Amino acid sequence: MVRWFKPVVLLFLVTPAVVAGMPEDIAQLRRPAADPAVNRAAWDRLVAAGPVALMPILRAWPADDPVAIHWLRTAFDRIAAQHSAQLPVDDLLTFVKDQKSPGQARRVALAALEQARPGTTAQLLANWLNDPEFGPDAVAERVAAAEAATDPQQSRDILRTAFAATTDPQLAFRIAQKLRAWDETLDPLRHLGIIRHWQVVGPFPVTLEEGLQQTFPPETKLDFASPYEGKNGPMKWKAVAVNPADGRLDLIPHGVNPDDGAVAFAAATVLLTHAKKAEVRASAVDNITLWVNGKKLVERASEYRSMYRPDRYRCPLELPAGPSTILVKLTKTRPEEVRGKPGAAPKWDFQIRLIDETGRGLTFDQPEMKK
Amino acid sequence: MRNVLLILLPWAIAADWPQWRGPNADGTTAETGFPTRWDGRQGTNIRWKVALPGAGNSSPVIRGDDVVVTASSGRDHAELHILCFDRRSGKQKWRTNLTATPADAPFSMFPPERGHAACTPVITQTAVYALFGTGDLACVDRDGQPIWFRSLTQDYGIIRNDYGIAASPIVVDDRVIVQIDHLEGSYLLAVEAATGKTLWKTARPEIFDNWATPVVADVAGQKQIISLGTKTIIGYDLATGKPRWRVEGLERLCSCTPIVHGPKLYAVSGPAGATLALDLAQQPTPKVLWQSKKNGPFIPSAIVVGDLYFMTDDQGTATCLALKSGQEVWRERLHNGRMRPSPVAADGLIYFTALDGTTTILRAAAEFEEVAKNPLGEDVAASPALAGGHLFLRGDKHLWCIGR
Repeated sequence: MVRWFKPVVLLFLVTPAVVAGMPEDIAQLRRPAADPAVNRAAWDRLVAAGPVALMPILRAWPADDPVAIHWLRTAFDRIAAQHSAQLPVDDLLTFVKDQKSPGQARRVALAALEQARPGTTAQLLANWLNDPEFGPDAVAERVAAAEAATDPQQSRDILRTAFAATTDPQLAFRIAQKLRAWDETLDPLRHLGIIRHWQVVGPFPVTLEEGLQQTFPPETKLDFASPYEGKNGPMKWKAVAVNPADGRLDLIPHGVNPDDGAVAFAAATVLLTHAKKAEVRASAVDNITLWVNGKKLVERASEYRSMYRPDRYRCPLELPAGPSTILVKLTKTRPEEVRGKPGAAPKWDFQIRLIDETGRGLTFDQPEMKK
Repeated sequence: MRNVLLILLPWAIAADWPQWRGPNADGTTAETGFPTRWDGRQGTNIRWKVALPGAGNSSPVIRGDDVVVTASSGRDHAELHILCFDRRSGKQKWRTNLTATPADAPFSMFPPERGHAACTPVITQTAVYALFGTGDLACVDRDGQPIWFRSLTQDYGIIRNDYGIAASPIVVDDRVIVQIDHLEGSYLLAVEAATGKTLWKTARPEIFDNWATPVVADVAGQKQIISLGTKTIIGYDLATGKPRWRVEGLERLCSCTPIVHGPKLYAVSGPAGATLALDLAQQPTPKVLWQSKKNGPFIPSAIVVGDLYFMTDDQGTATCLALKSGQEVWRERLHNGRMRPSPVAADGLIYFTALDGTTTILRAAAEFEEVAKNPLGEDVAASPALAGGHLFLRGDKHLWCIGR
């Protein structure tokens, strides 16, 4: 296409009819048709409508349809790029500051604002430590600022505020470690809602396949006084705690050796003062099944190994006031043949944490456990 | 009789590098006259260098005046980017941003950061096809405007691959083929290139995390998609997606793209596996012609030039095998550093790039001969592309065009 032709086409297309049809075009992209040509036609008209379409696009942001989001977002970006001098800056700013607006849409709007008014993001992030969408970005900025600060006291102060705001486990542990250099003892486990005290038992002397297929006594009745038959004699529940450095509980240092069987259990009790809506986040090497108050919420059961990935399994739940029982079944896959250099020492670890609706660690207590 | 042919994509011409592993999907180009000396630190023989807005291991693709690459950025790498640069100047021509479908956090253990942009896009005469680790599959036109979108996560469930998916999409006969190998239900998918509509989806049971890109071969008059994964090579019918044959013998993790060379297929897997040579003409199940010693790569794909097969392991030791027999011709240390990018070849030379950005150029010959060793001054995990007399490298932070 000849270069001068595109603006001419755009001017030609920005007609009252195009603007009047904008709501229908946005609705079309909000629920994309099976025929992408229909969506593209709506997209073209919407882009031709120009800056007047920007705020309606943001306000129509779909909650959970990634394809619809792609259509609307690309239309928004295209308009913003073509009309960078005519952006509704004040409206965008109001939208971005409204924490009730969809987070993804706020992010797209902020990117456009940053193009129009460089420095906006840094300005806003300074006050967004607890923002539901941008809080983690603000924390990351603070940590970077603390690392760059030459004044140790300033660095320490920044890190303290960053720790209080962070919802990211890796960042929380990183900040806590940095502050430890000043003898500050923070508790990332409590901050992140990590369940720290557990009773563990195992391994049950079964193969991986048997472990995946069979039901074991703790799954039907949780009795911490009950011994079970292990490869080397009776096995008893024992009280253990997670590693405070990373919030993970590795069973192997506690004598639960996968060479003696493929299945182990861990159980914990949490106490809440009030009933709460929450989310449980589970991470484990290999297989994990998770029950909360007898209800199975997570199950990964495969003969194939998998790595530990933080917060990999997520499930919403409602916890009652008083005690709740968390039961974890871990099934270990076979060790991998290692060629060449020996691999890292095997781990059989997991982490469970409870968070509230804002992503912060849930506040709960755990009863004392007998060693 | 040669009843198996590599499919030469009809839209690929000599001066383009339109997809992962180039115009022939094997890392080679028929073009000649590529640079052999440069120094990125000094700016020697660097035509242009542009900063990238995000991370990724995806490699650049080139067609006509366009160089396209993908990236991801931001919190959880949830900002996805398809970027197009002018081949001559490096000036950005367009950029399409997408908001990622929520996904498993990207793998972040080993630098350089890769985010969700590990799959190399495909560029055709009319469109760019890009797949991200979040399962977002996008088709945009050559101006970056949308043609269609899919969210494979929304359609088929969350993708859980411990290192993130990296198999690149391929375009064959007006369909886009996507291989999603992961821990919770691997599949091979064919969608209509024009609309994104699913044509078939074939489950890959007992196949888990893999990263090798599938290849296409014409087997006895029928096109097959050949896919590596979890100890296995499988041939699928392109028209229907039905598995036609299966050969065991690979290692557990398949990262390396196999090579279709005449009627033969060469496949290697990791960590440190053997290369298998298959005669695809032997149907219904191809015959294993030879199997090499177990000293192959984990990540970099191998390359065939003439009657020789070249590869490096991940620690920088290169091996040359006789294509006919699998016998070792030579084995030499190339570089003291890790190798991630896959080698490319042109004009009788092979370019092996290491993770630290150093490219060692070898003569593609039965005797080991190092032609040059060129530093870049930036980590490189993506593979080079050769087009129009230039070598394109995607570094950790920049896209580079090497040559005058």
